[in-house]
Amino acid sequence: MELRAYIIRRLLLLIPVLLGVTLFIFGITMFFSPIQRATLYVTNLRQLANLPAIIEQYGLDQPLVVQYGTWLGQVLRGNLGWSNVANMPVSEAIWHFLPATLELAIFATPLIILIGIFLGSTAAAHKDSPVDHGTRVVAIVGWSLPTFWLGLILLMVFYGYFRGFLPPSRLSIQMDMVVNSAEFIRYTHINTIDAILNLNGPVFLDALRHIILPVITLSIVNVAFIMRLMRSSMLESLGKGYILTARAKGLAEKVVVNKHARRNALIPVITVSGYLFAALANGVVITETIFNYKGIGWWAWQSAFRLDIASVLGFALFNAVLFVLVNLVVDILYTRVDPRVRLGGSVQ
Amino acid sequence: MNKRVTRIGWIVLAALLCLSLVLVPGCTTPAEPEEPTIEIPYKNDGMFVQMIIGEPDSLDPAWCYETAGGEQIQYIYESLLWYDGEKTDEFVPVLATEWEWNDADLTWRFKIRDGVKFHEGGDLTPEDVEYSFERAMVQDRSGGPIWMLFNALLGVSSSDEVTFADIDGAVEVDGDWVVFTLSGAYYEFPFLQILCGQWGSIVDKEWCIANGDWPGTEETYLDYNHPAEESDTILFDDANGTGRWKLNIWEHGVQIKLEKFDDYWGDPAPFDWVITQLVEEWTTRKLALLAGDADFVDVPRAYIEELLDIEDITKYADLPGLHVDAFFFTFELVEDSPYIGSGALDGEGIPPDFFSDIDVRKGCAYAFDYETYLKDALLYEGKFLGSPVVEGLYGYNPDASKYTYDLTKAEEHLKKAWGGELWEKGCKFTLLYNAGNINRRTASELLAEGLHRVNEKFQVSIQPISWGNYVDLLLTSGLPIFCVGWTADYPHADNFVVPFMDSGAGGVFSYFQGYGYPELDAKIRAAFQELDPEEQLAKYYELQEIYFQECPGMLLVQTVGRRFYTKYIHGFYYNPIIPGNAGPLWDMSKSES
Amino acid sequence: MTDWRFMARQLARNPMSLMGIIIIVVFAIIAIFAPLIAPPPEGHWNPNPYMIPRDGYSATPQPPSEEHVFGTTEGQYDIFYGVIWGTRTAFQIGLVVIGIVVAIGIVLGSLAGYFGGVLDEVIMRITDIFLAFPALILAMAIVSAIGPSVRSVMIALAVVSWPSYARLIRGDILQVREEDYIEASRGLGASSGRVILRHALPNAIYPTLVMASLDIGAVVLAAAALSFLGLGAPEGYADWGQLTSFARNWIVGPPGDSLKYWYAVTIPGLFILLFVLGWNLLGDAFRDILDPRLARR
Repeated sequence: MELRAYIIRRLLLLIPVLLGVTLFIFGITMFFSPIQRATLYVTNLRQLANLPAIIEQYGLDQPLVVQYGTWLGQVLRGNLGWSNVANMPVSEAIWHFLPATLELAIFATPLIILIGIFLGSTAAAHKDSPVDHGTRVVAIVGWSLPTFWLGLILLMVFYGYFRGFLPPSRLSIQMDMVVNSAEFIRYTHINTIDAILNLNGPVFLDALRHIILPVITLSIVNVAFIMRLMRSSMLESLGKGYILTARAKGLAEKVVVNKHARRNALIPVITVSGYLFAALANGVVITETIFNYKGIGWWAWQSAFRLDIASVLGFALFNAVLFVLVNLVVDILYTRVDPRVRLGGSVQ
Repeated sequence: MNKRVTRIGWIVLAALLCLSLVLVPGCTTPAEPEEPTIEIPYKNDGMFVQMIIGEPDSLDPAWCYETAGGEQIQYIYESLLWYDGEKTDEFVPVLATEWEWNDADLTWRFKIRDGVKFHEGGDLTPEDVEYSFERAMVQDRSGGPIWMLFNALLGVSSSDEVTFADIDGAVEVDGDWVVFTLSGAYYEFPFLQILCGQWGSIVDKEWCIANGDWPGTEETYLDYNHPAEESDTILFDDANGTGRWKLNIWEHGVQIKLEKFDDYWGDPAPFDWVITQLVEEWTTRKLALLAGDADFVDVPRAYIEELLDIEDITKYADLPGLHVDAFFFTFELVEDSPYIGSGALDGEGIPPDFFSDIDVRKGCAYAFDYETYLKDALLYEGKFLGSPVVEGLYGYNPDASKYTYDLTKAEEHLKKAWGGELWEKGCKFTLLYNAGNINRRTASELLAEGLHRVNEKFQVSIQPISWGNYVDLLLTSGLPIFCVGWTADYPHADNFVVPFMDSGAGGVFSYFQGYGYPELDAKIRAAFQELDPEEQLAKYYELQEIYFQECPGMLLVQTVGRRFYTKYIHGFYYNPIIPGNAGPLWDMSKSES
Repeated sequence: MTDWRFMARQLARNPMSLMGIIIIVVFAIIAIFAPLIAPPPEGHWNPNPYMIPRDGYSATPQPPSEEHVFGTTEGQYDIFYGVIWGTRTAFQIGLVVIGIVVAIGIVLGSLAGYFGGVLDEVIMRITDIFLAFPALILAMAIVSAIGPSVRSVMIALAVVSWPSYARLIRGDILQVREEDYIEASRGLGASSGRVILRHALPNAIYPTLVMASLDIGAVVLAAAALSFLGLGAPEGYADWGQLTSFARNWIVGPPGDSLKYWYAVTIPGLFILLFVLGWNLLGDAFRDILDPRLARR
């Protein structure tokens, strides 16, 4: 199937997915009584008498179909509603909080993948040896460590014990003033990138200093995931025919592993990198809270927790679009790496 | 066989290594602490940095009705007058230099100060003052604070009950003076207290109009009336006041930064910057305080012990807040409430009107272990009351009666309840609390335990539910006993007595309980409208005694707070009506010595 | 069809899997004998044994002592009682959620994989919808909707996890579908149902078994994460996740003695860790044994 047609087909499939996701969430909100949903807007008890008015104003007692229809109508006009949690329109909130999470993802993802690939292939290459067992146990320990425990311990050591060496938040107060001043242009709101674009060394170093701990926390917890996948796919490819041939030809083991097995083992890793994005989306929530690195994970959590339905729906839309796009890219990459795979076939 | 042993050996070793990673730090905690004193470095000279857990809803003085926003508003804006230091019943001039009361036409006249500038450059005139209040009354967002102005000036509760002419006439300019016409002579003193709230802030008329706010005339006033969303008002996240600090940036969800206003009319601001950061995680806040990155943080009660031994932290304790938490009995429950068991007095439930019997309520009030609650749950940071009027309010009776933990008296009342049937048959019901609030859970457990101790047939179970669900049940009379708190709008007993005891819509709690009756309403009104100060006190004392005797609610606790600052912050004093926790920043300072 | 005895022998030979089995068996014993190991106190006014008894109401955790072998949490909940009865909760959550999820996955996955066509497309789109949403946020929304409790956690996790299983089983059925013995039995006139149940599924199920055993640990971890965010079991319920979240603000103690309250988080955390480790080792072992393509050295 031609590449362009394939992409268009996949993007068209986005629409039923989006409709389905949002309809599902609306369905969940129907579990709440109108009064419960109205409490989102109540900041003090005197407003309790006001709830009927609030319910009417937001149409909270309308049937599901009507509420969904109204919301959908607004969305098609570009209005995603108001985020109570963020105190701004939902569409603005997404762009407001996204840079922080992107920054974490940009630094964490390569770290996780590289370490995961290294550990996984090492474990596979020395299967059943102490190295293999040790690596696997360590990875599992990392995975089952509660994120918040790890984060707080790291904070305690590197911020508390080492006298503010690696602090929480995104920037120090002084650098925050620089970044918000007229001379500094915030192109992306991703501080490290902006610092480079503004050729500002101190800001770059400061941003780096603040991002180290959250990135380490995210990495340790997620490395196991990639490592195990790499290990099993390496084991698979190590058992393949061309490996036997290579060995029979007398090639050094190292060459066998590096040149042949590893490259072919990368295929599922590409797929999984797509899923890594989902895994990060989950892990990021707690990390953002602990390190005061407010990003989209924190916003989504607060919205779900406080039943800010408009925000949750906006986030769902955004996330679904991202998910489909990432899957699309992964599938296309797949075809580039493995010549046996054709577009449009399902290679599950 | 050999190989397998080696393998197992390696695995065991690996596992032990991992476990030791976790256990060794714990097991090797030394008996004596390594560093008994911690030194907090001096950072951020000239800045006050605080980390708190609440964020403003809106910075519009006419909209804002919560403390996080109120705190920022009081740094940015000013009102006509302010409380004198720690007092809540004496005032000092701010934007008004003097004020006079006229008994004959029930007016307060305020002379407006000269030479005051707004942040954006305008000058303060009496028209600005008139506009500020008229604008607030025109806006009158539902659920907002302006009912106080309507009550005081026009004797109504909202803009729906009056015409524009009424609003216009309530506040007028007379040369250098602004004249407020009140709805009753008894508002003479309370009105001054109302003016000190954040809703009494003065805005710049010309600037507001130029930026799209209400033009000040009758033609369009309905367009600005009852705005639906916070963002519908221009002062939502934009500010122009006369205060010592001006708004620099509000990064939603992250921080608010205020910058010193150089053209302030009075003494210069003691801080160049006031930075408020939103940090929900306690450990992060704590580490920041200890690292000197924050001068003040919100400290949840459970963790205050850790900070006590640190020399570099100053603690201010025993600060009674104008806040009360109480357990309210619902007199008439809805019949199909799932929390009343069988719904009848048969030992498997309670009838819907269970708590309408005064002996049941008194029995519960005597069956609660107050001492344990105070010691363990509140860490001595609370004051029990017999009535909702807390210390610090005008009208408070320090000698008011209250309930104590007395199982004999509890037994006595419970034996009398429902003609003795309750004692014989027993009862079963569920106490609910909003999930996450461990104090309310503890209180529920203590009550359950106390009742069970009096008579084993009293079986109370406890269940957490989400806040939304809680409010829903509260409004539909589904909760046998509900627990909520109340914070003062202005420091007057009326502000507490009405919600707790009035049977009308103003009685937020008594209305939902089903408590209150016309004679009591009359007494409440009479107390507020009494012009003779001694008589008024006597009337309020009587109301407090009535609440104690009729016991519509129990476990009334006034929160007593404390504050922690680094040792570099000086000048804190406590006035309970100041919103937020940081204190009177305008009178505080920061220095290394 | 694989010989179960062969598989069992392989399991026993592999030291990692042996350790995994031992760990799980130990936990199972703890769970079964919980009332004996940590008996619920007599005459307590609250008869639910899953509610941890409180020894007072003070907020500060107490270190391990004679009376409280593992110490107490904030609010004086006995940690020993909590982790022992929490073992039951962990098994409950893990087995129920995975059980439901595998069942749904088998039904939908088989239908999609075997019959293909429109049915396949529809089911795949539905799984897309669920997968397009971050699991944790969706789970949180569901728990918020129903109200926090162990039951709602199980429902939420089940709703969030079933799509991966449906896909997995579908993929395996797809692979198996073209095999000769399937053709043969169809040629012999077997009904679709019979073909699926007796021939396709048993051969396709092994990767699912692997994933399921790995996921039991993952489910318990996810439940702990929900508890941490305030959307799990109620305070005082015997649940490992709940216990660790109780310790959240005590992880870093007073300056100078920062690990003072280590027992509050380490002990429940250790139980979680070992539980997850056990199931993971078992799952890994399953995979190593069941995959015929792996070279054995």
